[in-house]
Amino acid sequence: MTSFACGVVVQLAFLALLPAEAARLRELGIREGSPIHILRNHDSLVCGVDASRVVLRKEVAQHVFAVLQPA
Amino acid sequence: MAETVPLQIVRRVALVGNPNVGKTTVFNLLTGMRQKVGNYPGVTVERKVGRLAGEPPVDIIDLPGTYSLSPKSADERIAYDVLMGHLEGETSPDLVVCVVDASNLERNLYLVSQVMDTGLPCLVALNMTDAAEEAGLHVDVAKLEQELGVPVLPLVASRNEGIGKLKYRMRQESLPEPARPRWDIMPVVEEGLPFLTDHLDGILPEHGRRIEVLQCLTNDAMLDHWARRLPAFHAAILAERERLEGLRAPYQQAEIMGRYNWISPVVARVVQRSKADTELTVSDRIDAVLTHRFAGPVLFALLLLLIFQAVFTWATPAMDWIEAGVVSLGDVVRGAAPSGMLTDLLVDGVIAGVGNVAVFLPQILLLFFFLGLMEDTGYMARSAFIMDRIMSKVGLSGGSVVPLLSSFACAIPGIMAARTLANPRDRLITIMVAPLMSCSARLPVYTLFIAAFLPTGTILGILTWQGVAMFSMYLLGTVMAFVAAFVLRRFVFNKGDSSFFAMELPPYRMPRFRQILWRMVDRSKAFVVRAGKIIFGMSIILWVAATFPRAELTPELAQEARILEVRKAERVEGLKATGMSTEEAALLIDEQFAEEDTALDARIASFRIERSVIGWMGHALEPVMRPLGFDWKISAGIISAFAAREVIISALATLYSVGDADEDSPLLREQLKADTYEDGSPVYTPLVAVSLLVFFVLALQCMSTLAIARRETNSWKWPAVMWLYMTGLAYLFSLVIYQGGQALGWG
Repeated sequence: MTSFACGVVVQLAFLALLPAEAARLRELGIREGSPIHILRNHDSLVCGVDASRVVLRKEVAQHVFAVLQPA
Repeated sequence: MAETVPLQIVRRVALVGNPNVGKTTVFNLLTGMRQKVGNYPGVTVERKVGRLAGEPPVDIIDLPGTYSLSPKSADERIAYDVLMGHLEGETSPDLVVCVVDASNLERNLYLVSQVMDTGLPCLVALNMTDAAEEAGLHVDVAKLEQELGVPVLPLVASRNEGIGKLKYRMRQESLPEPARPRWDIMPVVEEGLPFLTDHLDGILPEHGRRIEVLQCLTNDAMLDHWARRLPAFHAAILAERERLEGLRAPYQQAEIMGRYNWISPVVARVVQRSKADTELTVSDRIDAVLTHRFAGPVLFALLLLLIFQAVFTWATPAMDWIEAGVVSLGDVVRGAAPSGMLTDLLVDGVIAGVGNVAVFLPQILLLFFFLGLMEDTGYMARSAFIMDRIMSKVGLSGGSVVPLLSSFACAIPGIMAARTLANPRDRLITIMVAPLMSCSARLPVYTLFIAAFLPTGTILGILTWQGVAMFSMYLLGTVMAFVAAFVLRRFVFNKGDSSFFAMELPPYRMPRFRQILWRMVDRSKAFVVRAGKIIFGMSIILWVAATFPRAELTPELAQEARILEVRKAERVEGLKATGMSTEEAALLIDEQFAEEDTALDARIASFRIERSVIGWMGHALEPVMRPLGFDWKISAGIISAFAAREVIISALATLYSVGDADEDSPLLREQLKADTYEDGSPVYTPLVAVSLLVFFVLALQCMSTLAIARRETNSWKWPAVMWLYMTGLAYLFSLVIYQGGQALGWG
């Protein structure tokens, strides 16, 4: 997720995190297949999930894999 | 769709919902001031219950905000346990109201689907429908109701819309029919469930067995609970996990995927979008500034500086009024009551003790107001985000910021708020450093000594030196908390993975001043009650300790007193000979001898206190505290303040009221300024004041904090370590400051 520029919408592919951490992200709406809007990508990653905003520490975001949302 | 359930005397309704969905606003609107705040039995998670007045009466339980019923932290566990009726003495609620954010329907319905699985009657309160419309989302309420199979009531809680209908549904005799699960889990997991749920036959009600099994399959904390209670079930779950792992079945995410496979199409059917959800919102634009990587921390620091400046300056008029009121009350009581021990106890012990702490209530109210404002606008969550980079350097996550900021009000809710941290190591470190954040009990001590001994005047015409000094005290505590966290992480808790940090940023909202004032009054009431209980008791104990044993005066002092009386009597007689009345002569002579009277009274009082119990204690500690610049009175005050920090104010008030050199001097700080050693040098210098302030920043002087830390860590080991390291730090820093200051000639 950290390799995408601000403003793009990505589709989440895979969460390479501990089960409990992955479960927390899924509860926050960051789950496989869901579209994620990258709002900021510096020390932390701020993303839009539906109308909510979720902040991830960069080290966490580096373990979240996504692909560009098909147009 | 509705079945009649026999009406109980008091119906119990639980409010559940994700964090930041307006659940507490709904709770406040439903219950008004009829709220009781306590703890769940055996744990320190806040239990908020309120009564919906009218017939039939309904008790409403406000459960902690949670994203799911798969608990990861202690307060999420409480939400689950209350719904499942697992808590001792608490049955499952009769009705569950799921408060849902209409603009975030998909994520919110995940929790709703879990609540539906509990088999309890439930209804959905679809809140923030206005925000959803603004975001271009239209929710078809009737269709949603049909899809879920439970009643759905649209609300705008912030404008009190829809609350009447919600109240009506809560009171209706017929409760909604218990909901049924409407989603499918992957077949490989499903096939093992009947065998597992059979283990819980007769132990849990039928409706709760399936969800309990699902939680135990993926959550070790939930499973551990069964190891002793039902070893066969525990073993069966472990065997099932092994079976699924052998099949390489992704069972850990089976529940989440299954639920979303049902929820996503439901949302697609009931929500119409008229705007793309990639448009930047007002909150996004504000965040671009307030949480900017460079500007964010600077603005955060400036905001804190502003808060402490305001706390120090805005409260002054109200503090002056209370101070004058306390003095007047003491005068009235002394004038009305017969002179004697009881009046002394009432005036010098109780009124002076409690009054001198009550004086600081305006500052405490202001501090709570600003913290409430940060919470209500959504900035408190941003502070966690802003601080995460710094927190990660000391081995913690931004999640620890909210408990630490709460500790500015009081370490107890701060330590309790650490329950939201899922990582046990982060939680323990946060608990260990939270008492270093300057709580409201330190505020009276800071104010007294800063106002009395530090210079007035302004910097750049805006900030006062005293306000900056106050900010420095808070800054010192905060920096030391970070240093302590770093040391603990590096040398004590140095095993384990790096902290995980992911959190939701709620949208910015206009503050609701009524709610802020409500919380402010609530928290201040707790402070006053605590102060009332501890300080009232301590004031009496301190007065007794400062009064007894009643030492006999030395022959020299007694003779001096007699000589003064004789001189005054002779002068009165002389004046009477000139034709003056006895009263007029006595009054005139009292005025003429006022200075001598006062000086002698002070020497007598000082002589007696030094020989009292408190004097003995202060003197016993003085050799240890003298290198920090503290005399026996300060030492005695510090001993008494180990129960609660603010007690030092009442202790000093008692000590100085008993030894009052000037009845007309109402201010404790004036009395402190005037106090001297036998050689005439002042007891309190600015250097002594700084040394004492630093001691109070760092020392752990609060029995309640130790008790809560004991409950939260389930051992006396960590509270003992906490007390020792904080007291050691306090002594060391004060020693360095005082001795260093003296060496530099600042003494």
